[in-house]
Amino acid sequence: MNSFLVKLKPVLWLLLALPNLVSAFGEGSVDVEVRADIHSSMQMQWQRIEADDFRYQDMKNRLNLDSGWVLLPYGLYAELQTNDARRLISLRVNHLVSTNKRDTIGVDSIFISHNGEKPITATKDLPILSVEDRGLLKTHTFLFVIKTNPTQKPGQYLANFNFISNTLP
Amino acid sequence: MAIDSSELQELAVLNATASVLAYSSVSVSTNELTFNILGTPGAYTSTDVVELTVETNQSTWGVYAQASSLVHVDADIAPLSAQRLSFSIDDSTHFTELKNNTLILQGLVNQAPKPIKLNFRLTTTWQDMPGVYKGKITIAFLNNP
Repeated sequence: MNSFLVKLKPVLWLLLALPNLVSAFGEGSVDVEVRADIHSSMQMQWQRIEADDFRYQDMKNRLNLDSGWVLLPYGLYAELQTNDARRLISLRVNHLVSTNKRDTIGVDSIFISHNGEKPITATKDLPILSVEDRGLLKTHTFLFVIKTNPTQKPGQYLANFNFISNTLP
Repeated sequence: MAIDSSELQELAVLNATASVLAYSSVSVSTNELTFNILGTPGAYTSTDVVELTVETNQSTWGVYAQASSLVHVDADIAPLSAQRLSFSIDDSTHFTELKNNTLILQGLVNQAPKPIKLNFRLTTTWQDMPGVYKGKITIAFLNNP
């Protein structure tokens, strides 16, 4: 008798549980297919910072310039972020042109201090957002240093900076 | 002419048994949800609204939802976890995260079927690679949850 009950128990349990299982996983459930199409996105903000800006001052204090080098009294601050590893951003610096447009200071005399680092030549585009930066919020402070020479004329000069975007294939 | 009930005699007894089978049906207005993430990462609500209707003769019951991860169509790209999906009922601004078997709707005996509107939301981050991700939400009916 006892062994009969032992055998019956699992059967009863299964019979009692079955209606719920059928409801949940049989006709009582429906699937909704989900599709998410995430597009390439990039966010960029930049601003000119003046000599009294704390970011300018902070980066300037890290520089140790010899004589013959002149630090421009302004810089650039930029924030960039992308979800796309193929997006590359670089900073391009052009010649400085005098306000009367007669004189120039060649880009080979311009150097960039990137986040307080030792100035590097501006003749090449400076990468500021690379493949490994994907997803990260990157902040950059740029100061510009002129290597002076006797051929440069005194006066007011205009600077032209470009942020260059490239997409890898 | 009226019959006096005391004059009636019982000739036979007929036993009648009515068997009402359990019935439940869950239907949805659409079986596809699309999120088109065009701007910067954030919370995006699907333009598709899922209308859910439950018809049942069961006493107490519940409708539960469970989402799978959204998998990128290209291999080796991290999927979007199911917890990124959330839902709201009948245009509510409060969205509830879709965890394992999240209760959407609870019903009681003798409740007339009334459709509800489900809005789904997907939250994305800057870490999510561009591309198409696919997954599914399973909506299940449970008697006496």
